[in-house]
Amino acid sequence: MSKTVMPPSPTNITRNTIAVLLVMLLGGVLRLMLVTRVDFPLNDGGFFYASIDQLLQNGFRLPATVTYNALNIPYAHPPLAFYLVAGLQALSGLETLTLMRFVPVLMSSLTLIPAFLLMRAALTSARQIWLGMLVMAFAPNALNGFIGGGGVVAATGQFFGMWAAFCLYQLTRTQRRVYIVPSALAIAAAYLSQTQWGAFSVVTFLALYISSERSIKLTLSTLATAALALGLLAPWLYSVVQLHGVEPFVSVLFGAWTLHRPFGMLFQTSFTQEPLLAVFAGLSFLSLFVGVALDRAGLVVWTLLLMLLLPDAAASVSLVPLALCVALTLDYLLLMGLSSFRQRERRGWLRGDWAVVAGYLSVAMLFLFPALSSYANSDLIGSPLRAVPAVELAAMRWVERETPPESVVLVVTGRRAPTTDAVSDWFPIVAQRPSPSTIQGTVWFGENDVAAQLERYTTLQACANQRVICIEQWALNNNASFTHVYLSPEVTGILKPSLTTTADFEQVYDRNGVLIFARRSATG
Amino acid sequence: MTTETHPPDARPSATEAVRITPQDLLRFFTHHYMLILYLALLTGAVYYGTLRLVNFPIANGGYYYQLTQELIDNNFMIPPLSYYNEQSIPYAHPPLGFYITAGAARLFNWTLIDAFRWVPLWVSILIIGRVYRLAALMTRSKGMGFMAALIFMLMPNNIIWLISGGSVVHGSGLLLALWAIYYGHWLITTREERYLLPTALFLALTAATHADSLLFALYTLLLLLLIFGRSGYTVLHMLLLAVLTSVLLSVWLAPMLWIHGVTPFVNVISAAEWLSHPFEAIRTPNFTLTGEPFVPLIGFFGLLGFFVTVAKREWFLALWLVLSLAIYTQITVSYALLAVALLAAIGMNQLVVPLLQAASRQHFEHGFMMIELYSQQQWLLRANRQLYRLPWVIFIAVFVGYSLYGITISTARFLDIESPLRLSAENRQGIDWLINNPELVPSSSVFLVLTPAVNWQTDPSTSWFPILAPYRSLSTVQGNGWLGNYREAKASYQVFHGCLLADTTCLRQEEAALQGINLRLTPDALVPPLYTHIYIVPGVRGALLEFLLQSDNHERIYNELGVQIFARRDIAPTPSS
Repeated sequence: MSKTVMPPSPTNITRNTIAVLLVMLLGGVLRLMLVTRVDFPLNDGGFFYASIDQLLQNGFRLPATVTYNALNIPYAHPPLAFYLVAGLQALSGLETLTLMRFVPVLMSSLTLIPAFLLMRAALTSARQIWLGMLVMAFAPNALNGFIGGGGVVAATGQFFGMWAAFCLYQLTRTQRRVYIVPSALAIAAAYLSQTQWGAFSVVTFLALYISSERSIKLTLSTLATAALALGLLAPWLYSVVQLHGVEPFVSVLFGAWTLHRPFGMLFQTSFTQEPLLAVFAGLSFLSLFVGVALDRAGLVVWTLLLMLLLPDAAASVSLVPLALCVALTLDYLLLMGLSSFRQRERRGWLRGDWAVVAGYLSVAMLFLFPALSSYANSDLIGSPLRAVPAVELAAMRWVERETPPESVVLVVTGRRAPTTDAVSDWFPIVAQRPSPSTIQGTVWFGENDVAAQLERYTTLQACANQRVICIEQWALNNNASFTHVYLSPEVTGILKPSLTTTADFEQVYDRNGVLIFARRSATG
Repeated sequence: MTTETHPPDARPSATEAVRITPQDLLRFFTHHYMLILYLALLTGAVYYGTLRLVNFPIANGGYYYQLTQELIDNNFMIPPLSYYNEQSIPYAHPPLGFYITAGAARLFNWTLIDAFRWVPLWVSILIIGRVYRLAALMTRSKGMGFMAALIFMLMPNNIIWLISGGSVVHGSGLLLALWAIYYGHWLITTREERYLLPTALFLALTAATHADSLLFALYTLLLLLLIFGRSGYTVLHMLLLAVLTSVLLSVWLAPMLWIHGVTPFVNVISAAEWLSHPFEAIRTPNFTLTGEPFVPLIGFFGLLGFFVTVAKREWFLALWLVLSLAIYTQITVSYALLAVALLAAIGMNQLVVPLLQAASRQHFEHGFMMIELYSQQQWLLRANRQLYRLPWVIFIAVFVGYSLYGITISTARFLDIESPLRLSAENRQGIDWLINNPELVPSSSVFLVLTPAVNWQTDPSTSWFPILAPYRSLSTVQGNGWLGNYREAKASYQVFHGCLLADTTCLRQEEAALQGINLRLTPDALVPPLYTHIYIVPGVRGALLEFLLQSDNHERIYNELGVQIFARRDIAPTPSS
């Protein structure tokens, strides 16, 4: 990952600072616009809400378990982000739900600071830096998953992960010992925020070490950083291992392998979840080749290692090296590439400089198109930027008020991906009743439970197009008892009329498309 | 391509050995016809593989099948009327596609059903070859022409239109339109009269095959004229072209107007929706224009090509794409994808590959110098000088492999018995049951065919039901354009399919609404029934199925392999139609 370092002039610094501040501002505004469209956290976050709530109830001491969805789940999730929200709540008095809407936006916007430092260290021109910043601010996979309720941990993890990437980059390139402590602190903080970002830091460390000019000094610095990071993590790790063993960590680190294929993101419809033409996905794909051609194979190795070793989180964590590759691609491909078509004869509109203008317009279009299409389609079912609709929140609150406390509710949304099924995620929190198919939190029970719970979730949702016997059979197969069935408005399959007419169920709620049925004979 | 000629005195004698140099071989293997051969073989292999695995035409084609059959039955003379879906329809549809199909069936001794599988395959192969010639002409590069044709062939959304049964008409139309545009391009850019006759001939043949293809050819030629031929001379050529085309077309059109009058043509033109859905193909969430199942690389390279043409102020392709997306036709997607393929080839050839090439040349420069300094091995030097090609050669290989894998995955979906683009054997068994049980289903019955298809144009069940079953289908839209009932037929298809997610009341309400009856003001019993039976195709999901089972007004008379047939109990045996 060699690069020519140019001393920045004071004018450049001012211009860069203004450009970066502007990008941060615009990125922050876009995030705020998306979050303030509704008054509930976007997408997921129910399990994290429970974790924060119980941390507060326990007086900021880590409880042994977290009660979510009527399960006592080992409190093994890294707690730094929970402390952050809980601390802010204690200080400001704001509701946890409100903080879960705005803390992700804040952290996601603040991530642009270490992102800028990393860009400045790794890229060669001011133009490439602000192109990279634009990627970090507007790429769909820089928004999806980071500004929803789940963004409390994801955005905090990304913030520290980005700091770790910057410090490690500097450590491996300059081999200066001054970066050992900040690197270790950032790795530890990233891991204490979200396991995936902790793992990202480790893989980043590995990739940067492989692609750097190795020396004894660097090897010693590397070992010192790793030891220090481990030392910082040790008290928390020790307390959790003492209570729950190593199984939760093994499950989280290797569970992904049972559900995702390495490099699987390249064979998805669009790993960036762009609702219209997946511009960023195409740009990312191409930038891997451009990276190799431009002698920045280290960045490509870094990206590929993340896709290989962290297949479940690759779409979000690989954005960090990809942003660097994409910045180079946009600079060489569009700004410089299109400028080469500048006409010699200086006549006509814009006096022959049209090609240069077209280059900038193309870049603007590449950023505006995905951002605007994501914003315009954020209400679509399946969008990672969609919150639980108000009509469903009302139905969940009705469940809390009107059903017996011992009720167990099968939540059928007809969705295929649990990661964008906000209703299943928030139901145990808002309705205060367990939902046996909700997958969130089960990863901490062990590797096998993840696959089993995913199977439970998908088979129940498939019942949306089956008769009532499907859910009865599901309950038998999964040894689950239930008293109610909750149908989202999107469920338009056979299950709805089947439940309406069967004598075993009684329709107890029918408002705005949400149907709730009570089971007349509750059998296990 | 130029061929080398020897002066008379230098001509090699018969006994002299002819030396073939590597340049000769390269020239031979990159000749136009060889490139077309490669494309034809690849297209044949990929498309044949799909068609071989399905034993019935893909997607639509039922109406065209009937028209072709009637042409054969009438000894290749155009009959005055066709009889499709229990309706007499003026035989005014441009007939060339039917002649081609009927001729091919007779020539190769195919059954007509087989002809509706294999003619689209051959037409597709010819289309890909023609795309190559046109793209090479427009981009002035054989390499880009080849890449554009390859990309056009690799787009999954294209394959649906190219190999569907209906391609005997719209595929043939597209092929002839490409010929017309090819000669029209020469005519406009060179201003030579010798291109006038072939352009007019192919325009007339296009018009005698498929009206939408004619529209495509016309707006393309108009755009070419606006961009490349703004002179009085070219305008005069265009006027001559219009006259000549009209004269040629009158061979078919004049007798048709004589027999049917203008009414069927007015009906068809008034049913056109050319400006009603502008840019629908790029505005629809989760629909990618190219249909690529993974990362839409072709779409992205098309966008890069768009940027290149805009930067170079070469407006034709960018405007062609915009026009093709703005004007809605039956196969808008294929027309737009032609421009996308050219733009993608340009994006790759003029932006991506040069960048990769230049960057890696710089990268390997140091290696070249070292070898030059320390090695006298010429082969090593030559080999190293080729290294800079590595990144972009790998890139092209990965791109083609990735796209081939994508199209394989996409076409494999045709094989699913619940595929909305295929009339499965299970589905046809339900129709066979109807044929074998006439005592249970009176001949006057009218069927509401409900399918999982997303639009009526590619819906195989509604298109083929009137051909395979001796009953009328209320959901079939094809053919109604000539009768002036297009909008009603389309509305009928759409509203009843909308009821799949609702209960049986929805069917009743829509039935009344289609007849302009308000159910609040009219007793239920007074609403004339529009259908007597409901035919549900495998793959249909929705609450309606369960409601039909529970309804007292419906009785399920068949339920096998995903096909369900319901008879209505609430009506007299003969419906009003």
